Amino acid sequence: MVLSFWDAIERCTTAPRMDERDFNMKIWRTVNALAKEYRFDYDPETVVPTDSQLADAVFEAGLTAAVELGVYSRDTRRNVKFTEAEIKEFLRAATGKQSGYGVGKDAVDVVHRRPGSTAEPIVYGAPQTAVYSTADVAYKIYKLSAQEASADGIWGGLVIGPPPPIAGKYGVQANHPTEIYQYMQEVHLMRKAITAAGRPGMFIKQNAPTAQATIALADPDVGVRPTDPLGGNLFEELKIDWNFANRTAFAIAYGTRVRWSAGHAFIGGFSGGPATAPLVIVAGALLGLFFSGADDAHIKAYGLSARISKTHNRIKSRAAPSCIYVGSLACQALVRNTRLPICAQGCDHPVAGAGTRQFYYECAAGEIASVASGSAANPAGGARQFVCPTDHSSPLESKWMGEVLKASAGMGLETAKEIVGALLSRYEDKLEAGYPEGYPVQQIYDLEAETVRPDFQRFYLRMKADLEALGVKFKERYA
Amino acid sequence: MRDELILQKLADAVLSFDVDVAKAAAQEALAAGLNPLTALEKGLKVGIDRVGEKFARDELFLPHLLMAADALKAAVSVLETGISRADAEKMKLGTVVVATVKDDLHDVGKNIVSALLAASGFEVHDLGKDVDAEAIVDKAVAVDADIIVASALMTTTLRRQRELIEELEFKGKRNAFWVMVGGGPTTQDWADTIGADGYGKTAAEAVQVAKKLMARGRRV
Repeated sequence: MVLSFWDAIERCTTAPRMDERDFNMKIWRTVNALAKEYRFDYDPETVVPTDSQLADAVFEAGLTAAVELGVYSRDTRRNVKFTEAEIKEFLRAATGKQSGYGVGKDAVDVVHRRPGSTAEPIVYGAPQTAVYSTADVAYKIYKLSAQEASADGIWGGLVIGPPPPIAGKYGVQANHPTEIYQYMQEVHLMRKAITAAGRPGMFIKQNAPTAQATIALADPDVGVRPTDPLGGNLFEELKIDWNFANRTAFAIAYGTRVRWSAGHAFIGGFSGGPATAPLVIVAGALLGLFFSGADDAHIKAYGLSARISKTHNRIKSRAAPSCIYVGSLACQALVRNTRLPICAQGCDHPVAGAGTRQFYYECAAGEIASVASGSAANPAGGARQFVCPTDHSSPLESKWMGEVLKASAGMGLETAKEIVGALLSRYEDKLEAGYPEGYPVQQIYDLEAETVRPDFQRFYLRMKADLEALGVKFKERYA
Repeated sequence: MRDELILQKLADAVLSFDVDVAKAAAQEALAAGLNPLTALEKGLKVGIDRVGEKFARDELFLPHLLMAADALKAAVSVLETGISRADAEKMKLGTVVVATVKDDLHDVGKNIVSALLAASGFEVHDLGKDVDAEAIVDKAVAVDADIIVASALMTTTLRRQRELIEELEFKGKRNAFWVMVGGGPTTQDWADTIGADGYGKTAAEAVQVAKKLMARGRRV
C-alpha cells in the first residue's frame, strides 16, 4: 500500500528540524558525491545523451539521493525522509497510464513512453503563463489554440492590461482580492473558448500564485473540473510548502483525477551543474509522489504521473544546451526505470520572442529532445520566460510546438541528437544577448478574422520546410 | 616574496572554499605585518573575482558562492582584529538587506544575488522569501543597512516592490537606504517608475550596481 498524502503531511510536522540553508547545501553535497561516485560528467557537445546505461545510473543515483535527502518542509522547517521501500511501493503501483484528462470525446490519456516510442505525447496548447492586454485577446488566443488539431488541452495565461483588467483601473496582485477575481475570469474565458472551439470536453490547465486563488477556480460548470489537472507540486529543489500542499488537499476533496508528482532542478543553483541536476530532478519526481494526493485506489482508477522541469540560473531559455541535456537525461532515467508517464517541459520558455526564427528553433530543439527522451505530455505554447511583453505570444507558436511534438513521436535519440545539434547551431550564440524580441499577436494574426496574417503564414511554412530538411516528419493531420 | 605567498594563500583559500585555511592565512598575514586592507584587496578579492568568473562560466554554482563567501567572511573577521574600527569598516563594501517580496516564494535568483553580494565583500542580511515590506524596512533600520535589495519573480508580486518604497516613505526612511529591485519581470523602466535607485538584470549586474551605489556613499 502506498503511503498516504496525510501520512506524508504528518511527517512534515514531526520530522527533525533543519535550517533551510543546511538542507540546500546538503542537496549539493549529496548529488556532488554521487556524481563523483558514478563518474557523471557533462560534455557540452552531447546535448541529447544516448547512453542508456548512463540513464539507468542516473536513476539509481537519483533514487539514492531521494532516500538520503528527503524533502524540506518550508512551513515546519523540517527534513522529511522517506524510505526506498516506500518510494518503490509507489513505483510498483504505477500503471503506465494516466486517464482523466478532459471529458467525453475530448478526453485523453497520458501513456508511459520510452525513448523512441511511437505513441504521441499529449499536448498542452496555448502559450503557457503568457500575459494579455484584454479579455478579448486572451479569449481569441485560447480559442484559436484549442482549435488546433495537435492540442489536447490548453494552458492558461493572465489578462493584466493595459488597461488594468479590473474595472479598467486595477491590476492583479498575488494574495489579494484581485488575484482570485481575475484568475476566475481567466478560467471562465478558457471554458468559453474551448466550447467555442467545438471542444468543450478538452482539459484546461490553470493555476494561480496562491492556493486560495487556485482553489477558487474549481467549478464544474464554468471553471476547473475534476477532469482538469489541479495538483500540488514539490516546489524548487526538493521543497514542499503548504501553498502547494493545500492545492493537493483540495484536489483530493474535489475528486481531481489527475494527480502528479513534480521534480525540478535549478542548473547553477543547489542542484549544481548539468552533471548533478538530473539527480535532483529524479529525486524530486520520486519524492513528489508522496505529495501527489494519490492512493492505491486512485492510482488503480486513474493512474499517476510525474512532471519534470529545469531552469538555468542565468540563461532564460529552456533550450540552452545544459537545459536540454539535463531534461533529456532525467526524463530517460525516469521512463526507463519506472512506469510513470513523465510530463516534461521541452522548451516552453524560449528567450526569443514570438514570430521569430529563433523562437521556432529553440522550441523545436527542446521539444524534439524531450519527446525522443520519452516525455508523455508537454506544454506547447511557449512564452518568453518572465519578461514576455503583453500579447507577445500567439496560437501560431502553440501550433508550431504541437506539430513538432506530435512529429517527434517515434524519433530515436540518435536522430534527435543530430537534429537538436543542427538547431542549436542556429541560436546557441544568441541565448544571452542579441535574441529577437518578437511580435505581438496582433501583428501575427488578424484577430478579428481569426486568421494568421499572410506574412506569418508563409514564415510558418518556411520554418516547417526548414525542419523537414533536417529530418522532422510532420504529420498531415495536424497541419 | 613572502607577502606574495600569503596573498596567494588567501586567494587560494577562497577558491578552495576552505574556512580554516582562510582563517590561518589571515592570521599569517597579520603575523607577517601585512596591511589587512592589502590582504583583502590583493588576496581575498583576487580569489573572489576568480570564483565570480567561474560562476559566470557555469564552472561553479550557488553552493560554491556561499562557501566562498563563508571563507571570505572568516578571513575578514581575523583581519579585522589587526586594524582600527574605522579601517575595519573600510573592509566592508557595505551592508545589504536582501529579500524576496511578500507572497512570492521564488528565491533561487535572490539566493544567487545574496551569495554574490556576500562573496564580493558586502555584509548581507538575507531575510528569505515572502517577506513583507515592514519586516524588510525594520531589518534595514536595525542593521543600519546601506542598500535594500527586493526580488520579485511574478508579475502579480511586482507591486510589492513599490510597496517597499512606500513603506520607506511612510516611515520617513526613504533617504536612509538605496533600494535595488530585480527578478524575472522587473525592468529598468519598472525600477524608474517606482523610484528605485538601482536595477540588476542579472545577479552579476546587481553586484555591480550595488558597488556603484556604494561608491556614491550613503543615500543621504
